[in-house]
Order: sequence, then structure tokens, then C-alpha cells
Amino acid sequence: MSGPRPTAGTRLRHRAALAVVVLLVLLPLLPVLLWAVADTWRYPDLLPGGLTGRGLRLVTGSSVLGALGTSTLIATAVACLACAVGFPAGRALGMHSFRGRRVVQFLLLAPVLVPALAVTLGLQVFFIRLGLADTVTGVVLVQLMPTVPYAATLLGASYANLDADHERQARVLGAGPWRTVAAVTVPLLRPALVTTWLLTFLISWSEYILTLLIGGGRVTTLPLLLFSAIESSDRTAAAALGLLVVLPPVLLVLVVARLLGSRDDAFLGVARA
Amino acid sequence: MRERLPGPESPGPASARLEVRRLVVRYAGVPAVDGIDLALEPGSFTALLGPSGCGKSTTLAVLAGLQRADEGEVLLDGTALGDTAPERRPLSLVFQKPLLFPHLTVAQNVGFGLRMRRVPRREAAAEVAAMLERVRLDGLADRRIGELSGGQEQRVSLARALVRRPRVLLLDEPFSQLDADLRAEMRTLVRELHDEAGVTTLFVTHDREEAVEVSDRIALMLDGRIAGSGTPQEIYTRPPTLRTARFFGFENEIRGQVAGGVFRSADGTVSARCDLAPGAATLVVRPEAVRLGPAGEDTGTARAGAGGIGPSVRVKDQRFAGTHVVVDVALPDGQRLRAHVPVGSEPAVGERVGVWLPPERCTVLAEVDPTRTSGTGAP
Repeated sequence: MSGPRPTAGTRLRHRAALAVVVLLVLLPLLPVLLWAVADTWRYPDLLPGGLTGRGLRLVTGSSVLGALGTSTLIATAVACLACAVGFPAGRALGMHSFRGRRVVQFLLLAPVLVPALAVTLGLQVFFIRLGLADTVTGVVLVQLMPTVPYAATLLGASYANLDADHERQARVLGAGPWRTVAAVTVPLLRPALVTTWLLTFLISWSEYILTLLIGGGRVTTLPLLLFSAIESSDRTAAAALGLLVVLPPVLLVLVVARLLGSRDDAFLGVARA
Repeated sequence: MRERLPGPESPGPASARLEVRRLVVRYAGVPAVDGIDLALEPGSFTALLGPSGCGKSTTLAVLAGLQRADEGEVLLDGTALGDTAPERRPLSLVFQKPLLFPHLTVAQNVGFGLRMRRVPRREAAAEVAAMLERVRLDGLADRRIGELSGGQEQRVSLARALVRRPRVLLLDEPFSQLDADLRAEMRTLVRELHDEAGVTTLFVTHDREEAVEVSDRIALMLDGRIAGSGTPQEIYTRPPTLRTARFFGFENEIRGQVAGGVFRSADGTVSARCDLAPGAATLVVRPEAVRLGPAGEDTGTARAGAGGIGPSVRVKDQRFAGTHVVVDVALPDGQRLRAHVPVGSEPAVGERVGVWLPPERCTVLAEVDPTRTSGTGAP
């Protein structure tokens, strides 16, 4: 199955290419890092005039740590729920052909195609009526809108590649329908599930508008703090918060890739390289 | 109608009698399985033989509970299985593909069924180890699935099916994706395992040789129906039906009438004794059973009663086929008759020869194919 053994030359070239890519991704973060510790940094100075610990103090302060907790809680819940909803939806899309499948597929993608803002303005009324406005639960629910379509589509594609006979085989070997899913289907789809979970986590993590509208400013996540810092032109705070928004997902992807990832998974393959 | 079962003297305590009655499965109204009956005696090894698309895999899926039957029933030791879920049937099915679970090791794959049944871990481990030894895979227990060869994969699949001690083992063309040598080896293994465990086995295949070699009984399935069944010997010597005869290489069909216990071909040149009721009938004979002799010699002495043809038929065509020569002769009424003769003894095209049909190799069937006049079937 594996290709020809790479020669030292090709390996070197792969390493070099990877280094360039990583550099291109990381380079824009360098000024942000400098801004986060810069006291004064005026044009046309190449480097900041002085350093300050204000950024660090800010991000270790209780309000930011609280927002970090809220963000983590919401993103985790959203990712888990999106996978839970996307798993059966993807099964229906990928495994069964039924009348109107294309319509369902389109409807599933609609929340991504239509600006979420437009829909949310209408939804907000219902959320208020249901008492879900200004609550973490409400924010989690509304964030399913931009995440479930991706979850269903990604898992649907994986289901389409799954050999349904594996499940039939498991049934014949004595596994009931639920045990078949738990003992065979989920392990077979594990790479796709991990990818889906990470992707939906990241979508939720960086979500701003929906959180603002449904959370009503009471549910404070990191992007909300970040935007308000940008609005108030506090560059040190904005840069420090920016780094705080960027770093956890990167660490998460790396850790998950190490723990769970497999080589055949493109998303995690990159993180592993 | 019941014949002695070769194989184990006493069937294993676990093996069951499986019966299928008037089974019908339709896809969008079109019957894929069209009213078949099957009876598998405890401990027997039956091949369900047929070309692809004949409904044999669908039948197996119904037996396993993976497919719903539209009509008919499946009985296990006399109890109707009805809509029993596949996991509640004491059967194991081995598919064409090995379908091993890639996230599990070889031992975990084999032990899957035991785990589902919540067999205590140590007991299961011992059974898995014993089973792996029987399929000659001991030492590979901790291997990952990706590291196995095609033959090893199918052996794991077989072990996984058998370790549950099913009362009936269903095999759906399990070796069709392996190469010829390996297939022969696997056939032997399956037969050995069957004889050890004595489990009632239904083996679906499209390969005549495979069916004959491995099974005690063959049921031929064509277009959703059982076209005929019997032991391999019966099927090769006394085919029960015309379609069975055709499928198993009875290339010569001679149409005629039965009257007074004697079959007589339309032009009267062929006759044979039989115990059929009067009426239209077809005599079938394998080309390798047809004897050719020197012209003029009275090979027709056996005319009345023993299946002979008078002298002087003309050789139309002959073709070298490696182990023998295929000779087509023209009967007096223009029908073709095909004979296989040893290399070196074949007559030349145009030569006149005598023909003799050994009576014990001829089968008279009370059937006539209305779509065909008699003569040589195309191979």
C-alpha cells in the first residue's frame, strides 16, 4: 500500500516546503506578538519603543479567563452536539438514497449559504420568547446553525465511502443495531468524526455575530472581548486577546492529532507532519 | 427422496435442520427469488450454485435475516424464523469480502461475536486461540488487519464466523476473490472445518467445480428458482431437469417420444429404455459419453432398448481441445450430436462413422424445451 521509499533528497524537499508553509502561517502572528508586549510603538519605528506586561496581565485577569472558560464550554458543547446531529444526518445522506435527497442536502447547507445574521434576527424573537436569549444554552443552540451543515456534509461523505456490509457483518455476528453503531460504525468513521469535531469546535470558537445577538452581551466569549478591544483601539489588549484566541485551537489540533489521529486523515495529517 | 449424507457420522450437537419454503423476494415488484424450496439436513454441506444475478445471494441474505422475504418462510429445526433480527439468529454468514474490522486485531476480530454475546474474557480468549489454530493462523493473533494477505483475511473471517458455534454456516462466495491455488486450499479448509464441527453449511457459489468438489448436495438456482438438486454424482450422471443437464454440460439433447417404456427419437434412430409415462421427452447425454466407431459396423444392435444409433453418420466438424477432440456429427435427420474422443482417434471431417450412446450414460427427461429443436447445445 505504501509508495516507494522517499529518498533523502525528496525528504529534504518535503521538509523545506513544510517549513515555508509554516513560516507563511506564523509570520503574520509576529507583529501581533510584538503588539501584545509593546508599550509604545510609533511609526516609523521598526520595533516597539518599550515593553509592557499589561497585555499579559489582561489575559490572565478574571474577566478574560472567564471568557476563555465560556468559549471553551460553548465550543465543546457545539462540537459535540453538531457531531451528534451530523452523525445520523450524514448516515441518511451518505447511505440511503431517497426521494428528495438533493433537496434535503441543499436545505442542510442553506444556513451556510444564507447570511446567518439575517436568519438570527428572526430567530432572536423566538429565543427571547423561549427564554433562551442571553443564555449559554441559547448561544450553543444558535451556533448549531453554522456547524451542523458542515458536520452533516463531512460525515455524509464518509458514510458514502463506508462499506455497509461491515454493519451487516456485525449484525450477523450477533451485534444489535445500536451495538453495531458503537462497536463498528463509530470506530470506522473515527477519523471523520475527529475532523468534524475539530472543525465545528473551531467554527464555534471564532463565532462572533451569533453569540453577540443571542447572548445579548451577557454571554461573553473571547471573540466578543477581542472585538471590543479592537473597537476601542487598544492595540495591546487586542493583540494579547488575539493570541489567546489563536493559540488554544492550534494546541488542541496538535494534541488531538497526536492522541487520536491517523495517517489517512488529511486534516490531522497536516498537524502530525 | 432422502439420500445418505456423507461427512460426519453424527452431526454435531449444535447443527440444525434448515428449511426454506416457497420463498419469494421481489425488488420493485420483480421477483429475484421466485418461490424456492430448500431443505438442509443437520450437518449437511449444500452448495447453492448459480450464475450471478440468479438470486442466490438474496436467498442467503433472507436466511441471515438481513433481507425481508415477501412470501414464504424459513424454518430452523421446524421453528419459523419470521422477522427475527439477524443478531438473534444462531447462524453465521461469511461474505464474499472478508469485511474484517480494521480497528481491531486479528484476535479481536475473531472474538467479535463472543464479545457481543458477553462471553467472559478469558473463556473467549481461549476459544479464539483454539479457533485461530484450526484455521492455521496461530501466531498472527495480535496482527493488525492491514498486514494480512487476502487468503489470511478470509481465514480470519471464517474463524470469526465459526467461533460463535453457529447452528448453520452460510458462505456467500467466500473465495471468489482469491486466486485459483488459494481457492482450492480454502475449499479444503472449509470442508475440513465442516467435517470437524459438523455444522450445517450452505455454500453459495457460481463455480461448478467448486460446488462439486466441496459439497454433499448441489441445488442449482437459475432465474430465482431451483432448477434441480441432487448429489454431485446424481447431477453429473442423472440430471433431474433439462436446465440442470444444460448447466452441467449435457450438450446433447435429442427430442422424442416415450411410449411403452421406450424413448424413441423423432426420426427413430435413437432409442432408450426409460420408466417415464408416455409423452414428449428429451434424451440428454454428455459429449464425453458418446462413442464413435468405424462406419458400417452394426453399432445399432442395441437400438431397441439400449440407446444406439445406426451406422453411417457423417462427421461435420472436429476441433482439438487439448485433452480430447470435439467431434460434431450429423444425425440422419440433420440434428447435430457432439462427441469427445481421445486425441489421435478422431475421424476426419466428412468421414462416415458409427455412433453409440451407452444406455447407462443417457438420461431421458419428461421435458421438452419448446424454444429449441433438438441437437447440440452451444457450449
